[in-house]
Amino acid sequence: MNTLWLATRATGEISLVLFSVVTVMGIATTKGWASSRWPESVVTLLHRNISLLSMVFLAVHIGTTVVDSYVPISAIDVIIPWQTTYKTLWVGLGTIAFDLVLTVIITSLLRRRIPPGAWKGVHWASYLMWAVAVVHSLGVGTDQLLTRIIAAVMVVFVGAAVVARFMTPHRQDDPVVSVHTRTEIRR
Amino acid sequence: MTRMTAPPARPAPPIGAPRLLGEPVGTDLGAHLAAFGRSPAQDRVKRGHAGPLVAEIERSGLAGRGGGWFPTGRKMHAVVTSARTARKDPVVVVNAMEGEPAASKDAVLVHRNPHLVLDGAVLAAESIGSSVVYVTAHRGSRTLATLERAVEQRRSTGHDSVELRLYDAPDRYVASEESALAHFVGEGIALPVTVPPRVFESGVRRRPTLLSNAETFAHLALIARHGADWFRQVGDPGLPGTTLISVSGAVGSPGVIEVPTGTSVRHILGLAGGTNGAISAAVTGGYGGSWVKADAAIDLPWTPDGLRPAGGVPGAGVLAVLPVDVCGIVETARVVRWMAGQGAGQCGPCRFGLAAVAADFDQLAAGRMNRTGLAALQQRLGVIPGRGACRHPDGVVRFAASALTVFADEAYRHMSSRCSAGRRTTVLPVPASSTTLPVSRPGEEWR
Amino acid sequence: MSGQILMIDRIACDGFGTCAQLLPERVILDEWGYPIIDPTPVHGSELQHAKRAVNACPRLALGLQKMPRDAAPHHDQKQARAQR
Repeated sequence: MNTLWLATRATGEISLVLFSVVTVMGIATTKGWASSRWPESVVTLLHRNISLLSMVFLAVHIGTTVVDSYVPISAIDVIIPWQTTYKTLWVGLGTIAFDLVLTVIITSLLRRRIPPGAWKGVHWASYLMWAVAVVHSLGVGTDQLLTRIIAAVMVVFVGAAVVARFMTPHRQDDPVVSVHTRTEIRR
Repeated sequence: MTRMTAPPARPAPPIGAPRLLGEPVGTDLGAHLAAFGRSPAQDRVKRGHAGPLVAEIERSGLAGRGGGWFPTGRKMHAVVTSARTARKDPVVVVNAMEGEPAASKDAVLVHRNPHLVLDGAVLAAESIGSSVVYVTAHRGSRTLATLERAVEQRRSTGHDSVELRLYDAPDRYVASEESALAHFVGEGIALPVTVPPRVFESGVRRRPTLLSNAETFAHLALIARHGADWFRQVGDPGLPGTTLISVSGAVGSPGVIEVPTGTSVRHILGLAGGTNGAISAAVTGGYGGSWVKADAAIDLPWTPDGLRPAGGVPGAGVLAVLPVDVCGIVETARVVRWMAGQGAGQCGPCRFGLAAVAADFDQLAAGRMNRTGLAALQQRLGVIPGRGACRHPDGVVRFAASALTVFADEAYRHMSSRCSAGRRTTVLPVPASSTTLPVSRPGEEWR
Repeated sequence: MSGQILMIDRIACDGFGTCAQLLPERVILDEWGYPIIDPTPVHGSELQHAKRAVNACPRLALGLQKMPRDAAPHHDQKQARAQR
């Protein structure tokens, strides 16, 4: 019983860290943040692979929660939020985060078969998913200082990437050559 | 062999040129009917079928006058086939945009005989099973205003069996590209889309679309009245009929003339008042066409095959003549700079490539380019074509590359910061608008 | 021998360059980071690398198309000309 509870909390924290890394790698992919050691192809493939790894840890986190009879969380609570008696709000947020990430992953796996606008719209929800996951971790893990430290570090880490994402020019807008400068023709 | 039965008392067919630019009729429908007679009656065919007019157009050898010179009958057939296989109703789009700054043939044609253009589009629609004709022209242009009046006359008298819808499109060069125009008519965004599929398969709202130039439809209207044999009476046997050419630059009377295809450049210049002084070169086809040396092209016939030995193209019927004392390199730099800003900004090779070529030409024109720079420019010109979403970059590169060939001596002089041209005046019309490339596609700000 | 041809959606392409990194035998980048693609068909063991490159494109701009039985599509002839 205690082991399961520890496993739930450990895999929960690991999932949060991994999803934070995934989010930053997603930003790195779209911004073209790369180097010769970490070329674009590596960045984008890591983004996808780490997201799948995160899902594995998330699955264990959810599995151990449901199996664990210490807390009254059942299978239905995995996808329907706010049905539990235990920490209703915070567990419910975890459910919502899971629903969101499931949609993101499924649409990404089916990316070629769905309209591109739909994929893109759903993918934006990953930011929301991450934020909800952070709040979920703080809400259910209130008895641990470590939880707060991890959450704070993740917020700084992802927050910085998000700010950079929107504040730096898009790759394609790089003003290497400006089209509307006029040079004087001299004879 | 099917022939169109003409109703009685139709005016006799014009022999030779001019056919489209005879007595100006204007927007009055009654005057048009008196001058040309009614369009032959035909039933609108069911989707997937081709009316007898399609075969007649094929037999006539009519080819698109918008620059593509693609056989119109074959295009109509392709639209019909696509409509059958896709089980979608086809549509017709008239391109009266005239995006080429050096061209005015469509404007002149529409001003003189708008109803010929509209007749042709309606006849085409009926023969391929389309119930609608979209007519497009530049926002704020006189062409648009004229078409508005002409369409209104037809609507108010219930003249046509198909619906006529007039659209004013943005004043950008790339908006007259066929996929951009179809995209605009369907969704209101005048940007090219990924091709294939071409518009004859999937154009306006994914329907098979017959999109042709205004002049092409005008010829079609006359073929429907007088037959394919009549159409073939003049012009080049392989590419018959007459064609409109906008002649400008160092000629006595610049303007639009109508000549049989295959007419020599010398004769065309003669009809435009002869050359004004000595000439060195000319632009053929448009700003996506190419330069030719005057002496190489002067006796060549005005057809795609005919002009090829001098590297020229008839294109959208443009012939802009350069006098010897105006610098071809400087003119090219102006044109390329403008064209680089007229793209859609959707693909890298066009957006960055053309901007780089424009910068290079500015350097060359200003006498600040060396051999390395020229080599880099040549390399760029080699790498850009065929890698854009549409043919815009291909056209600009062709134009620029032809300048380096035709004005090779001048380019060499510029590399030593000299220029042989005596005058600073410019001859080629380049719009003053400093149009900037869109940074993001309209409606797609978040990236 | 069944081959496939690399196709690219030029509007979707944003010049990431993952294709050139995963399939350097077939794709090189121009000076602005956009791909120049070898239009000749891809066969055999190279095909699995091509598929990997297709899957890695962040914009799904790269694709593979089965060869038609007749001549190469017009699209590729343009690119072939571009590379000369």
